[in-house]
Amino acid sequence: MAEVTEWRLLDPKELDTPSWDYIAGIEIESYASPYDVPRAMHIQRYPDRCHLLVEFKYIGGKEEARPEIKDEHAKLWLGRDSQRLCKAEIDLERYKPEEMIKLIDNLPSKSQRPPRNDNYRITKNVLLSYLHALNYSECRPEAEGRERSWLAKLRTRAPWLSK
Amino acid sequence: MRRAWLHAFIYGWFEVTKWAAAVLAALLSASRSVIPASWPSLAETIVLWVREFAGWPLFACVVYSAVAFGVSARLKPPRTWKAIHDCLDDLQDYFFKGVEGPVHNHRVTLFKWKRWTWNVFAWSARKKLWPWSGWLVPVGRSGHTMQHSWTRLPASPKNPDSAEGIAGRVWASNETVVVNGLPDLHGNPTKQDIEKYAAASFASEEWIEQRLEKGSRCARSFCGMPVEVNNNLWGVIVIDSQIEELPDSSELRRAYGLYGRLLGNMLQGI
Repeated sequence: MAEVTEWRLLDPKELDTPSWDYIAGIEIESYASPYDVPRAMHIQRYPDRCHLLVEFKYIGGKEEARPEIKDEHAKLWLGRDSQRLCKAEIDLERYKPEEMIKLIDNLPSKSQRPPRNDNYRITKNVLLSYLHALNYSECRPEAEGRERSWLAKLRTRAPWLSK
Repeated sequence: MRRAWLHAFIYGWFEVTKWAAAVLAALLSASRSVIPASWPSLAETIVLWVREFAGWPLFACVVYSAVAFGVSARLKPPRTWKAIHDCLDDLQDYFFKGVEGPVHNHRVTLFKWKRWTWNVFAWSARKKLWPWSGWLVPVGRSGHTMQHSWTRLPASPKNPDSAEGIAGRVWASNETVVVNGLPDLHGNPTKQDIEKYAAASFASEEWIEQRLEKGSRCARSFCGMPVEVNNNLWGVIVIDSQIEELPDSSELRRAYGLYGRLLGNMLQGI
């Protein structure tokens, strides 16, 4: 089967949800850095190999990425200077959402300056929501039902991805 | 903040003299054999006359030329700074379109993070801070008023909690921070108002009181965003206004999304 390539524009307004803090009764609203919110994602899918390569585009421009995390089901590339999550390669035959979450959640434990926690949180949600909407039953028919209940929670978080 | 005329003069001076020094160095090091026969005799006479003084002047010219090349590359042409200023003006126009009141009540300020500051008043007034502690220095501001500022905000990588002001908070957390509804400190503010203002703007009460004594303005709303150059945190951009509540912050962030990359390219090497 041929390779499937597509670009998806992402809406920063929907991805970047604020957090609030109150100091002396005054509301402090915090959002992710504009440089940490992906503007678009490039998806390359190889259905015959059940492989998915997702690349994120940021306003900071293109950056050399290095494979930092390797797992049996996924590989994550971080930006050389920024340490942002730039690329993710996922083996759909072995993909498990909880392992993916663990993998991305472990990224902030590496020493970083400045912190990129917001970037990892946002890209994690984008990735999981996309994978949830993706039909890859031909790769692993038996596992599809097992993951459905868990991933259904994400549907409410990013309804724009299923549009 | 940078003075445009002084910057233009220094940049122009080094731009011209770096080449003059390089040409002079070449003349001083030239020997009679390299002078083409086709040269007019007067040119040959000048070159040979200059050669008489070679030695230390040659060394001085080479060193000066190298320093001048470095300085002019570091300063960046005035047109680059003008483009950055235009960018800040555009952001100000976009953010505050339709908002009533004088334009100077709404400002867009660009801060650069620097390891050193030579401003003695900045670090001597604060405990446990040194000239090399790390500071946010204003390098550009929208509009044509309030262009000069001696403000230096602490932003120490070793102690990010001590970062001061909205700019310091943005720099330390690498987040966009929006604060609305700060107390109005013009007139006769109460002690409580000053305390509240200082806490919510991440500044010390002493610093706010000093500003009020000097008659400096205290904005009522802020929005600060990180600025990256070459995918590294370079500084922050702070929008402040005398209005109690900023226009829709999602629009501010959207607009910055359009300008962020452009600004990052212009700030390379600065």
